[in-house]
Formats: sequence, structure tokens, C-alpha cells
Amino acid sequence: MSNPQPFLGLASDAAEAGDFTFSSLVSSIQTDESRHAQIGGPALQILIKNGHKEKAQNLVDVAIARTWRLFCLLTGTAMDYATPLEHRKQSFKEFMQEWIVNQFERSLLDLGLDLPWYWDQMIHEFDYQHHAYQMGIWFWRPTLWFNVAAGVTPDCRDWLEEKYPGWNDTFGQAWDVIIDNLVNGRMEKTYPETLPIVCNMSQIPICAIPGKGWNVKDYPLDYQGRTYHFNSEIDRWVFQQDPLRYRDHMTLVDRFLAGKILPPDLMGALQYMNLAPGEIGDDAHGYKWVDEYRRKPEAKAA
Amino acid sequence: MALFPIISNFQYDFVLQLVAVDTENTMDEIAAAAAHHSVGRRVKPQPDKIIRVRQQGAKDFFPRQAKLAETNIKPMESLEFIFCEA
Repeated sequence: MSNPQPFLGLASDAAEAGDFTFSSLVSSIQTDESRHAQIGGPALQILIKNGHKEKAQNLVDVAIARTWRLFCLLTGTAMDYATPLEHRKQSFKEFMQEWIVNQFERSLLDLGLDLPWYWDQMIHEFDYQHHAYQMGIWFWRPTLWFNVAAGVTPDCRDWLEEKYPGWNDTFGQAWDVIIDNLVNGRMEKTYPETLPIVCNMSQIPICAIPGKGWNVKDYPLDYQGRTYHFNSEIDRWVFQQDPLRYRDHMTLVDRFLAGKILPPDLMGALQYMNLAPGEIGDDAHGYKWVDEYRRKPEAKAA
Repeated sequence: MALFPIISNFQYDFVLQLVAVDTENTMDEIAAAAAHHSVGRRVKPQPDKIIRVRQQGAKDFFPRQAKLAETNIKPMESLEFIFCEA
């Protein structure tokens, strides 16, 4: 699912920049990755043929769940926010429906497998999860090593509302507060002063819909004296499939609470991540997009 | 007096956040500490309302003056912070 985008994109960008060595290197890696990806289907067929359908199903269900989280974070935010409006061909949700849901459904059923038990819930997440991740990466931009495009100009918001009806009443409400602070020079209110709670499976902040559709929830699990926190039933279920594999890992927040991050504040966390001032992320467009709201304050009520 | 981490799930916000409070804090003080990280950042202030605290999934709120140490709240438990009529 994620192979073509970074590798083909990187190779293409490198060639355009004249770095043909790097372009060839990345293309070569991509062909190798493609071969690895090709193994999946036949390996599953062998498992099923030899009476291990349940194992095959479990492997597929876990893999899709974990990949979905990363794909949602990286591709979801890139398609619906970082891509300039004039270059967007379809929304992330439309892309997922056409290229992932339809194709994966056919492939899985052809193999003789069932759809993962969480299929409908995953499809429901197409409506909101990557919007939440976008707000997370922009608001916690000091914790990233790159600059994040906000992607919420008045025109962008019209597009988001068209593709995701209700966006303005949910994510838009939270962005309204952020934009109001930017317009009125309250920059300190546009930065975090604490850490988000990170999912013990995906390592991504636990987040969902704000505003009128508020549905944020913790999915905790007590296991061997420790409480774990998850973003959804799906993430919690993945952990339960192989707790020995995951139980000892400490998220950034776990390490913070264990006293491994000093001083115990956001600056300490940035130092722990080796992010010095000048390296930490900021707004990708230097907040120039906020001018559109300064010019026509009524725009934010779009 | 002991530092006590809780998870803030603030009404209308989009993310769970780590908030450090003290076992001697009242629920109103804990609500204020949680509000600091949400209200005016991503949640529109509602000055005519108060913020009540409850455990995730609970119907009833803790008494506003109840101290954290007097409740059954565990460290790193998710608490919901809800706007209510004053």
C-alpha cells in the first residue's frame, strides 16, 4: 500500500533535481520492495491450502490494521492538506474507496479469506481520522523535524466541506480557534504546552473528531499490572493478538512518566528527540495563508 | 501533596492530553489545569459555563470541591471535562 508513493515519488524528485545516482538507488530499492510485496499473495495461498486459514486471516487483519494507521497519517494528510488545491485529483477518502477498499475486498475474497472484522469501522474512519492527525501534526509542529502545511485557507475549507460534509462544524470549529489566535497575534496559544497521549499500538496520538461531532475516547486495556491506551478497538485488538511482542514497549509519554525525559516538560521532550531550536518544525508557509483571514475575517465562517 | 498525571479528554477538543495535577487539587482546579491545554487553543471559550469532571463513560460528575485524593481516580486515567451550566 505504501510502497509506490515514497519510493517512486522520491526517485522522480531526485531525477528532477539532477541527482541521478540517488534516483537510480531509490528505484532499485523500489523494485526490491515490489518483489517482497508479491510474496504476500502466494504465501497466504499456501497457508490456506495447508489448513491454516485462521492464521492467514489473523496475519492479514493485523497487517491491514497497522498499515492503515500509518497510511492515514502520511498519505491522508498529504493528499487532503499538503497537496496544493489545484493539484488535488481526488480526496483521500475517494482514493481509499477506489484503490484500497475495492481492490483489497476483491483480493481477499479471491484468496478465500474474509474481510477483516473491523472493515466497516475502518471505512468509517476515512471520514475523520486523517483530519485529526493533520490537526495533531500542525499543532505539535515543534515536535517534528519538518515544516507542516496547514492546508486550511478559505478555499481549502470549501473543498474539505464539499468532500467531507460537516468538516466546518467539526474540525473547522477547532481550526477557527487556532486561526483566530493567529489573526490576533496570540502565537503562544497556537503551540502545545504538553504532550498528547500516544496510542500504545500505533505510537500516534489518540485523537478523533472535535467540535459538534466530538467523539474522542480512550480505549484502555489493563494487562499484567500496566494500563495501556489505544486509539480504537482495532488498535487494542491488534495488541491483544500478540501481547508479548508489544507489552514492554514504552511510548514517548510512558518514558516521560518514567522520568527518562528531563526536564519533564515539552522542551525536555524536544531535547530527548534531539530536536534543537532551528530544527524543529513550524508552519510550512510561514503563516502567509493567515493573511487571507486578515483580509476577509468573514471567510472563517465559510 | 503528590504529583499525579491524568489524561484529559476535553469536550470539543480532538486529542487526549497529558496533564499534571496534584492529589490535593479539587475537581475545579483539575478542570482549570485541563482547560489550560484546550480552551482558547482549539476549544472556543464558554465563559458563562463551568467545567465539570467525570470518569470516562460515567454519567455523574465528581463534586466540584472533591479533592483528587478523595476519589477513586487512578494515575493516567482518562477523565472527561464537560461544559455545564453554572
